[in-house]
Amino acid sequence: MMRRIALVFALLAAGCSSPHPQGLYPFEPLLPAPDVVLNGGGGRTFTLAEADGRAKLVTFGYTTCPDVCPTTLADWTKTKRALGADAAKVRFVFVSADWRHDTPDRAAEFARGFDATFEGATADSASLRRLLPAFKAEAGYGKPSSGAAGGFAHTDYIYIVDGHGRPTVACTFQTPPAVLARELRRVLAGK
Amino acid sequence: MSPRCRLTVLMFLSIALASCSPSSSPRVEKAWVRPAPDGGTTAGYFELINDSPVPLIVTGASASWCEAVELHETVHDGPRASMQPLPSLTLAPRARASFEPGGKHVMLIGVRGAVADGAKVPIALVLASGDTLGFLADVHR
Repeated sequence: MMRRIALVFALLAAGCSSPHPQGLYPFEPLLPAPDVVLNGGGGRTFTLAEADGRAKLVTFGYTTCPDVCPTTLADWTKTKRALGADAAKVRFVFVSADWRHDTPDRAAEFARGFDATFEGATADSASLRRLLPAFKAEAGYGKPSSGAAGGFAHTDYIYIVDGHGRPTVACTFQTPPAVLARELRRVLAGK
Repeated sequence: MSPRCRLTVLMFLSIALASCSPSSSPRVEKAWVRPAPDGGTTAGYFELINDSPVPLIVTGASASWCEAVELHETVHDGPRASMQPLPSLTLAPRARASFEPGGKHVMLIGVRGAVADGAKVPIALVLASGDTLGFLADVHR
């Protein structure tokens, strides 16, 4: 049974401070993301800890998600538009936590379906077990259900990683794109 | 305004209102579907309106361009989101329900052929009465 619920991670309670207006949860203290290797499309690898000065907008999901993940990535396209020229300083990263079914290429294709610059990646289960708690996120397989729903549950938050590779703010599902853009600009400015 | 003139205006207004009154049949408005690649999974969203004097019970949905179609609801338990099957939905008389991102939706599984931005796709709701309620959904993000 424990094995079946393969990826259930302890979440949230620890670490995230009280919510700011509009469902924004700052991380305190700021710590680098784990140096976990993510597998993107075409054999490319990267980590969320990369500190190249660009911020990252990150979410964890799965490519057969019909509702939450597509809604989030569609919102990201509006966020990118709202950022204007500042979008070049932001990476948009979709991480599939469905390690049983999703491949790096499938995750990359899913993300690119929304915008050619969006990145999609997967990781193995052990890597995800290290990565997700650092974001106070969880993802896991529950009871199998009918159809493609598959009983997969995941945190629906959107995370901003700063230019030093540190998770900085967790934003609730459907945070307005204008708010995401504002927060990204604030993080890029080091405020 | 003379009584005769007032009567004429009232008659005109009644005819106008009658012709504008909403249908008493259930209907779907503002239906849309996100694009999906061949074999992919997507969701349908819409407003379901029951203008009839009796409850409307939806028991399922169908779309010939998908391998399977299910009614689902995304349930948010704090930050955790999961999908739950929606075995049926009962809409009271003169009520409406929103199928929208992050909530109730028609899950469209195994799309046969890509569903591209700008297209229109048919979906039908299956009613407990044995009827179906068909509609066209716009494909867009």
